[in-house]
Order: sequence, then structure tokens, then C-alpha cells
Amino acid sequence: MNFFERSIISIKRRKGKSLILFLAILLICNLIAGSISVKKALVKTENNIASGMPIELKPEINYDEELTKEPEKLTEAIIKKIGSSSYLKAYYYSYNYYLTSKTTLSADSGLMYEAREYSSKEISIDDPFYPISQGYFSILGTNNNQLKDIINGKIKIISGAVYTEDDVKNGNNVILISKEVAEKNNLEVGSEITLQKEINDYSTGEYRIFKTISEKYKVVGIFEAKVNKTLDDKGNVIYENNPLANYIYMPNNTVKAIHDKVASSASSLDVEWYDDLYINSAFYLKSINDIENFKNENLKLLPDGYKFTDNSELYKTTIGPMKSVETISNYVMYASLGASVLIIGLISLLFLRERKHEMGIYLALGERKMNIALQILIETLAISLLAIGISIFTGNLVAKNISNKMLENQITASYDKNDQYYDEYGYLLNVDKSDVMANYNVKLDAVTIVLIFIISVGSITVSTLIPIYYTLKINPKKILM
Amino acid sequence: MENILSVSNLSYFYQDGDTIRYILKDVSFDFKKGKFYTILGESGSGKTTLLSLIAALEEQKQGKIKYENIDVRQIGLDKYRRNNMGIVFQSYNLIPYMTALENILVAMNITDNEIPENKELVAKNLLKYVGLDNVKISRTINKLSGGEQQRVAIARALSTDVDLILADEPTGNLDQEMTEEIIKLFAMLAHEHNKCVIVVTHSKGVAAKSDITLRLEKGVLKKDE
Repeated sequence: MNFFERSIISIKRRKGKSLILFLAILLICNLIAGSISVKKALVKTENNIASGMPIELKPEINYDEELTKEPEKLTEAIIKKIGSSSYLKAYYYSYNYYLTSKTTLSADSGLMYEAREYSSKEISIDDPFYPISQGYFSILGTNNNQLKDIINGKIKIISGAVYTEDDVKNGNNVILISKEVAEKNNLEVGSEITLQKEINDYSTGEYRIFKTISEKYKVVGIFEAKVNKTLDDKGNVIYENNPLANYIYMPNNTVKAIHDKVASSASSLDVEWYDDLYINSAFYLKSINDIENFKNENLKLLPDGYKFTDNSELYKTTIGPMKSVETISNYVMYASLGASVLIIGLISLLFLRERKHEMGIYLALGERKMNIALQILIETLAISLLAIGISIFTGNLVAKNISNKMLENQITASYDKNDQYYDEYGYLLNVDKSDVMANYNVKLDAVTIVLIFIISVGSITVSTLIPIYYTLKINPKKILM
Repeated sequence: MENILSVSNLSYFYQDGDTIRYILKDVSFDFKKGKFYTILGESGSGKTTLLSLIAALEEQKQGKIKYENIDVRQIGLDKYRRNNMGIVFQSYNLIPYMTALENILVAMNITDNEIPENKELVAKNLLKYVGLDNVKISRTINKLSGGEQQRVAIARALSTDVDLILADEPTGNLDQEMTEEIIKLFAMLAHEHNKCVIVVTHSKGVAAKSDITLRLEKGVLKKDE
């Protein structure tokens, strides 16, 4: 009968002691397993949410400081120079423009059909149909065909594809339109639409159109935009809309081309006309820790009167509740590990004191100390494995219910209406409670199970080895004679 | 008859400052196979200390103990206990939650000595030899009487196929009838199986049954003539 068989007999015959040890380990391992499951689920949720919320910096005019003169405009050259920073994983810039259409409806132009009746007539600016007599579109230029809004999950292409890099480079008249605009106008990939810019004037009170510059654009892709959510003061969604329905994406060079045409025509007409082209840029950092380094490196490249704004506060606001629950689960885990070493160590010590006589017999029979140690370790670990196996499921179940409630409470408690953040389209950037909870899923996977086993078995082994060491130092003569 | 165990100039003492208190003083003796020895002495005479040294349960402070002419320290105390001797204690010292048979199998597994393949059969035969029937050998130790437990302890000492059997007051907890049976068993082991049996006792009756009686008085060992 070797030490392994002795272990099994000991577990079977000393049922009461085995049960006490089993219950103690079960209790502690439930805490360890639960806290590990929660921690893993939180880290996963954080990563999921953080991946949809990159660390973004934007150059903006610093209105916090008194401006002595109008700041210079940002140029492509400045943006490209900043874009070469090693702290960045990506950067984007976009020419923003505005075009209308006589033939293509905006997504929200419900009265367009009636307005068409007027389209052949002169429409006064006071005419109730004026605002909806044309399709109004916000134009978003892009500096490449890897659209920031696709990467950030704001839009996804549902038909066709994004224009090519060649289209971007050559400024071809290719566009992406929203699903809503496509449906409203029966447009599909390959359709052409005409967009225009009127050189007009109403400074005299009379609405005059001097010239209309039109361009035909080919639809190469149709996108679906994410819905925008309006939250109540507890972080619950109360209203949804789509701010990107009337946006059209096209290459920056395409935007510049029509703008240049308009500018050139206006100049030849010799009318007082102001039609500026704005450039927006966004820089995405590799790490939230690089914000200050990036600012220090690049602030000097911006024209006077500019600053970088960042979304770190939004990041912290969103991740904060998860970090709080993670901190609690960390404490529970560390406390459980400490408790396991103390409690299991103490139980082992008490049981081994009771079995001092038995250990003395093995020593008197000349048994190797290593075998005696292994016998005790196997006894504890065999009971532990059963307890850990059960704990993995029960701990997970308990942790799931408790942590769901904790996380929800943390989000509700941390939610403050004053901390709502919006992007350039009007999208609410804060992650709502349902998004977090949908992402948060305490579940068992192979890695979690292995991790729980390793940590639990490790702590139990440590807590058993210490009493074993002291037990094996006994003098058999003193015990047996 | 060949020497199996030689004790020479063995001393054991406690030191308290400059004062040395001897428990054993210059003990020398040769033990032979096929003989049944008793070491007789009053309480505190040092007989248990002598046995614990011979059994290598602790290391001697002075002198030598040689098993088949090799110093037990050279053999290694654990290895010597594992392979060269069997010991029977006054309080039996069996593992209480195991059966009689399992207690024997534990010892058989610890020794490096060659045991025939069917260890269980050998163990059962040994238990039968010491007087336990089939029902009793399957009982846990706490369901056996003192005499039965001592028989199991003797079977355990024999189970590792050693030539040296040591016993510390093996009949101390037994009645007269059981004492006689156990002593008969020890004599049989010496005479019929050529073992060297050394029994420490304070009982003159037990000593009378042995081949050679050694008397330990104030740490000094003398042979009864």
C-alpha cells in the first residue's frame, strides 16, 4: 500500500475530517472562483467597450484663453506632421462641406413631394417649403478609404463598398450614402445623384441665386448608421435617432474639387460670397497613458490659439464603474487567498496534530519523509479538486448574480447627466447601462477554469506545506515510546 | 552463531551546564540470530532509551551500533529502520482507521526488502501465523482487543522480512494469558525462524522465558548469569 493508496483510505475512513476540510475549501474556493470569474468578465467588458472607445485627441481653438487675433486655420501639412507621432496608432482628417440637391431627398424631407410642386417656381426664403424644397446633405471628406466612422462602429457598409484608395487620391466623384437616403430615393449602388451649391445672396432681403454649381456623383456604397441614444438621469435609454442619415462620405480631394469650383465661380462673378471649407482632424493614441506626452510633443505644432481636447474623462466615466467592481473583486480574491492560506493551513495543522501519532508510525517504519508529505498533500488536494470543481460552477453562479447587481448599481450611482459627452455628429458617446450589461457576461471558459484551478491549488498547496514541514520534524521516539 | 547487532561503548546522557547525567553508560553487547533476549530494568533504568537507540529512533551520542558489522549511521537511520529491523511497541502503534491487513501492507510497501509478489496473501498468512482469523484481519484496528492489536504489531514487524525484532514492553498492556501467548510467539520467532528478538521489559516473568536476560541498572548493562 503506497502513499497514494494511504491517502485514499484516509479520505474514505476519516469522513468527518474530510468533510470539514471539503466544506472549508468549498467556501473559500467559491470566493476565489467567483472573484476570478468577475474579474475576467470585467476585463473583457472593459476591453470590448474600450475598443469601441479609442483614446481620441482633437485640435480645437482654445476659447478658454483670451484670443488677441483670429487663430490661423489648420492645414493638411500640420495635421500630417502631427500624424507622424509615434504615440499614434491612427489619425484622420476630413474636409467638411455642405451640398444640396434638387433631385435627391434628404432622409427627413417628408414634405418633399409637395415641395416639388414649387420646384419650378421661384421660392421665397419665407416660403414654408423652402427648407425642405431641396435635399440637404452634410459632406464628410475622408483622407483615406479606411473610414474612421467604420472603424469606430458608427457606420457599417450594407451594400457596395468604400471607394478605393485611387478614388481618394484622384478625387473621383464617388460617394457613400445612408440607407435612409437610398431608400427614400430608390437609390442603389451604381446610381448617380446630382449635388449642387448655389452661389446666392439675400443680403438685400431678396433671395437671389447667381449661379448653381452641380456635380454628378456615383453611389459606390450604402451605409447603415448606429442609432444615437438619449439617456435619462439614471443612464437608461429614453430616445433614439440617427444623426448620420443625411451625411454623405466622399474623398477629401472630391470635396476640395467642388469647393474650388464654387470659389472660382464666385470670384469670377465678383459677388460677396463666403464659403469656407473646414478641416476636422482626430488623432488616436496607442495608450491612455500617452496623452500628456503626445500633447507635449505636438502642441507646439498647432497654430497659436489651439489646444488638444481629449476624451479621457469620458473613458474614465465609462470604465469607472467597472473598475470599482473590479477593485472589489480584487479585494475579495486577495482576502480569499489570504483566508485560504490561514484557514486551510490552520485546519491542516489541527488535523495533522491529531495525526502526529500516525506520522510517527510511518517515520518509525522508515518511510521516506517525501512520501509522507505527498500522502498528506494528495489527501488535501484530492478533497480540494472536488471542492474546486464544484466551486467553479457555484462560485460563478453566485458571482454572476451578485456582480450584475453591483455593476448596475455602480453605473447608476456614477451616472451624472453633466458628464454626457457628444461627438461631432451629435452622437452621445457615453456608454449606457444596457450596453455595459449586454457586454458584461460572467461565464466560464477554459482559461478561467484553468486560472481558478491554478490559483486555488497553489494557495491550498502553500497552506498545506507549512504544517507538513512542522509535522515531519517530529521525533518518533517522543510520540511512540 | 553469527552476530547480527553489536553495541559497543554506547553512552547517552543529558548535559545540564557542567553536569552530565548519564542514561546509558558504556554499554557493549553482541546480539545473535536465533536468540530471544530480554533487557530487564526498573523504570528510569534507561532500557527504553537503549531500545530507541538500537531501533535508530534517535542517534547515539557516544559509542557504536553496528548491524551486521556496518555502523547504522552509515546505513542511514531511516534506511536501517525500513530494511533491517522490525519494532513492536507497548501501545501497539498501529494506524487506527486502517484494518489489520492494511497495517501490514503499509509496512510491506515502505520496506525496500524483496517481498513476494502477492503481498496481500503474505500479509494474511502472517496474521494467521500470529493468531488472527480471516474476520479479524479485515477489521479496523479500533475494533480489535489489545492482545489482537499486539499480534498485528508483531506481524507488521515480521512483514518486512527482517532478522532483528525489537519490542518495547510488548506485554505491558496485556493480561497474563495473552502475555504468555505473545512471549511464546517471540520465542518461536527466535528459535524456529532464526530471528534475533530483543524485548525490553520490567517483568521478571517475561525475562525468565528468554534465552538471555540482560539487566540494565543505572545505565549500565549486565548479563544475568
